Amino acid sequence: MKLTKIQLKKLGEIADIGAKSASKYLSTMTNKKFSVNIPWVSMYPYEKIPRTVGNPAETVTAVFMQVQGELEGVILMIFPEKSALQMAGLLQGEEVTKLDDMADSALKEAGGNILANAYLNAFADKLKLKITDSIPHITTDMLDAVMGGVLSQFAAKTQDALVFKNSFQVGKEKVEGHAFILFDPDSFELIIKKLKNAR
Amino acid sequence: MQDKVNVHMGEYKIAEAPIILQSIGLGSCVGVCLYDKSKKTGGLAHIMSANSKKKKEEVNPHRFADLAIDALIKDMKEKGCKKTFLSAKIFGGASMFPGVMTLSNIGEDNVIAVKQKLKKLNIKIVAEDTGGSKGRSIWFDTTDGSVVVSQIKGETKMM
Repeated sequence: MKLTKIQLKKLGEIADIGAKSASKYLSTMTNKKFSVNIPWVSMYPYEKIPRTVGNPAETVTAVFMQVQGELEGVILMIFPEKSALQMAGLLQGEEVTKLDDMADSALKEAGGNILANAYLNAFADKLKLKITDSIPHITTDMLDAVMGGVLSQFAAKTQDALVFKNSFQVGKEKVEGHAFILFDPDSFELIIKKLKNAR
Repeated sequence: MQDKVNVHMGEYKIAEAPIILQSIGLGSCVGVCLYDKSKKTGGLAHIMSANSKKKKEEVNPHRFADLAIDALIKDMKEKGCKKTFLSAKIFGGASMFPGVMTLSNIGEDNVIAVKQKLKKLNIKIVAEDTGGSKGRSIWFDTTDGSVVVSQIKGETKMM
C-alpha cells in the first residue's frame, strides 16, 4: 500500500493542525513556549521508526494510547529520560527528580489526554470520522523495547507504517518529546477515501 | 576487545568466534540465539511478530518467527553448520504495556511461535529468559555460546 505525495501532504496538514492546538494547550498550562516542528508524515518501514528518535538502549518514558472508532491506530508519546522529568516538572509546577506516580499521572494527562485529543480532533474534524482515544498507559524502558511491541502489532500486516511524527521543544528548558501516530493498515483505505473529500 | 555486531528488529545475523552478536532493547520482540558448538558459529534472529498469516502485502520475512528461523538456519547451513548440532537460547517476549489488551499478548505469542518452530525443527532450547514487563538486552558470545542478559534497573545474568 502506497500513499501519493499529495495524500501525504494533506495528512501532514491535518497533523499540523493537531500539533498546533496541542502546543497551544501545553503552552497555556505550563506558561512556557512550546515549539512544534513541521510534522513528518511518511510511509516508512516499521523496524526503522525507532531510529528517528535515538539509539536502541536510550531510556525513554512512553505514554501509549489506542485510537478507536472508525479508525484504528495508536498514539505514542516518547520523552527521553531527562525530558520526562523536566516535562513532569513543568506540568506540576515544581522540580521533579524521580518519576513517581504523581509524575506519571502528569505525563499521562499531558501526553495522553491533551496531546492525543488535539491530534485526534484534527483528524476527526478533517476526515469526518468518529474517533476516540483510550485511557493512557505509561512505561519507562529502553527505546526499542518500548516501541517494538507497539510497532509489532501492525508490522505483521504491511511493510511500511503510515506514520506521523511531531517533535516539540519547550523554550530554553531543552525539553523534547516525540509524538507518533500510527494507523492500523486495515484503516488505510478509509483514510484515503475520506481524504478525497477533506477540505 | 571482541567485535560486536548489532542485530536490529526484523534482522538476523550470523557470526563466528570471537564475534559477539547483540540485540539491544528487546521488548515484546524475541531474540533467538542458535549456536553450533563444533563450528563456534552463532546466529541471532530479532523477531517482531509471531506469524506471517496476517500480511496484506510483501513484508520483510525476517520480522516473523517462522520465516526468520528458516532463513537463519538455511544460511547457517551454508556456512557449514549442521542442524543436528544446533541448540537454542531465547530471550524477550515481554509485555511492555501490560494493561493494554491489544498489546499484552504480542510478546507471549512471539515466544510460543518461536518455541513451536524450534520444536518442529527438533532444535533444543537450552536456556530461556522470557516474559515479564521489562525490556532486555542480550550479548551472544560466539566463542562459547553464552549469552549475557540485562534489564534496566534489573539484574544482569549469564545464561
